[in-house]
Amino acid sequence: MLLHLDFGSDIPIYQQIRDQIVVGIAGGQLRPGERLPTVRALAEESGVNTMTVSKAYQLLKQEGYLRSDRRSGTVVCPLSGRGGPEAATLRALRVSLSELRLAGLDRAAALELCGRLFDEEGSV
Amino acid sequence: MIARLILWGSTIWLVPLMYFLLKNEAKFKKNIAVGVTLPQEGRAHPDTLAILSRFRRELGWTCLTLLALAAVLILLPVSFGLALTLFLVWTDLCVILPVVPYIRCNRTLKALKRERGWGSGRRQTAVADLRAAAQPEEKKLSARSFVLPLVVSALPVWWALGWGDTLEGLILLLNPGCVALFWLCWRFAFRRKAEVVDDNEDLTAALTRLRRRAWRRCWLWGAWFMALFSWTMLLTFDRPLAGLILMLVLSAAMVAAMVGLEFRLRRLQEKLTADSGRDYYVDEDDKWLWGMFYYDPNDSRLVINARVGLNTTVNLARPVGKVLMAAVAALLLLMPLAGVWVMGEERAPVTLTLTDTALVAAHAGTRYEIPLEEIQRAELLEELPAIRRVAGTAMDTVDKGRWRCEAYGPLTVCLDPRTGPWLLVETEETTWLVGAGDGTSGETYTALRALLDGRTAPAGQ
Repeated sequence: MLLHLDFGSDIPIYQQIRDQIVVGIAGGQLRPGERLPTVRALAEESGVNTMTVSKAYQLLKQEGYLRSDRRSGTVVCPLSGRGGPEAATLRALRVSLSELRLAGLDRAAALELCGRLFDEEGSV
Repeated sequence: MIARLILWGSTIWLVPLMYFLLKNEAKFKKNIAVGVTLPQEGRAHPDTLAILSRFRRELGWTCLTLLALAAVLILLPVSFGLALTLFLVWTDLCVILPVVPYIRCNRTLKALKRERGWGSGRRQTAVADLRAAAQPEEKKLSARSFVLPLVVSALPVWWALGWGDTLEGLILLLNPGCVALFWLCWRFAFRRKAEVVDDNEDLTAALTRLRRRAWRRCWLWGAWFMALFSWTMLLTFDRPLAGLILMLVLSAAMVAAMVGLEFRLRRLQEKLTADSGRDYYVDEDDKWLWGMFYYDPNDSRLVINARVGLNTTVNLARPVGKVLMAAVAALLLLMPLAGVWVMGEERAPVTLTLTDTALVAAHAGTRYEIPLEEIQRAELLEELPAIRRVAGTAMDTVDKGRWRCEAYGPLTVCLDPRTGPWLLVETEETTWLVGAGDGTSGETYTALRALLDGRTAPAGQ
């Protein structure tokens, strides 16, 4: 799986790493139990600071997408067993839906767009 | 003339090497030719092919001109110092001039790419392969591979020190030092970025593996080369010309092996990525100035893989990268000054003066003072004994520094080998072989004798 980091974007790099890993897990590019690179290895690979990668990994662990394993390093968590969406995700979704409404989309158009994006891989 | 032929013979291959390396850049590898990334559509376009063809032609003429210039310079009847200066200027030209058609071609291709809309338009982006970065370090070839060359290169040091040749031993110590340095460079293979060309992970893995293997091989061969170099130095200390020729042969073999490794890797990169660039492909042209200098302020790394082949460069956006590149450029551009310095050395007279307290031998910035009270014996030599240099200067007009002689052992020398006689002076710690370039050593010896006799006579009574 390729990470595309955009240094000209307003989105912080750690957030871009976090978002793309989440999309990778959701799209099946990163399978449960799959080992991710160490913080140092990913920093070397992408050319960003180790602190940036570390922050992204911390966030993903807090959110339950990754876990640290003493022998395997950082691995993707199993998808099953996770509860509903996080409060922050719901908040962001609400804002996004409001933005779609303000952009002139009605309910059907907004749901169709959401459905298309849901089925699409690598939508970030 | 022999020295001049060796000088030119050791470097003349630089022109064909530059020609074939740069000409090879015109073939697409990883979607890149002459430092410009193009999609499949752009690679086969007639305008692209015409630009690349012009580049090859210009490069050929530049290299031919350099070879013709070398032929003229070799035959010029000038002093060694001037010949060396001209040779070093020519070497600079060999590095700089072939790059001019490359830069011209790079700029033209980039303009064509913009005009045709072949670029992805993405700037300030970085691509990282998560799966490649997660691969564990390869342990197949362990660091133990370096132990043997290290031991082999260190044996001559032990040998030389055992013979009591401390200076030779210290010079030879550079070789195991280089082997240790090469081991560190070998280790660095594991920290190289993956070779991402497009979204084909198998291709990324294959290209990364090939490059790392070539990199490791390069440093391991280098380690063995230093081990052989160490033994060549030890065995030819007494035969400098044979030593020089052997070392040149060894260096030529090493360069041939490295160039072979580079071209083999390039061929594989070309073959494996021949079908890439149809849909998604990585385009980092905005980070490469003129296709050859890496500048990315968003990249925290200092050492960067060259995009094609085995080479490495530095990130000019990092302060250390700027310093390193400036140092290399300064070294390259100031190299002819070494020739000017040799010209100065060549023309400076070798003098021998006797003062009330010391015998002084001097040449250019070198000055040896032998206190009279320390002199135990002085002898005038009509014939220069066979001496060999350990460390110092050996030119047609002057020999100076630390030398060695079968008959007299270690010597400190300052003389003009063309003009005798010469003075052999022994003190408790050092044996000196000195002489005056104007042939007045005989007069100096007579005056020295008189002074020494005057000094020793009262003591003898």
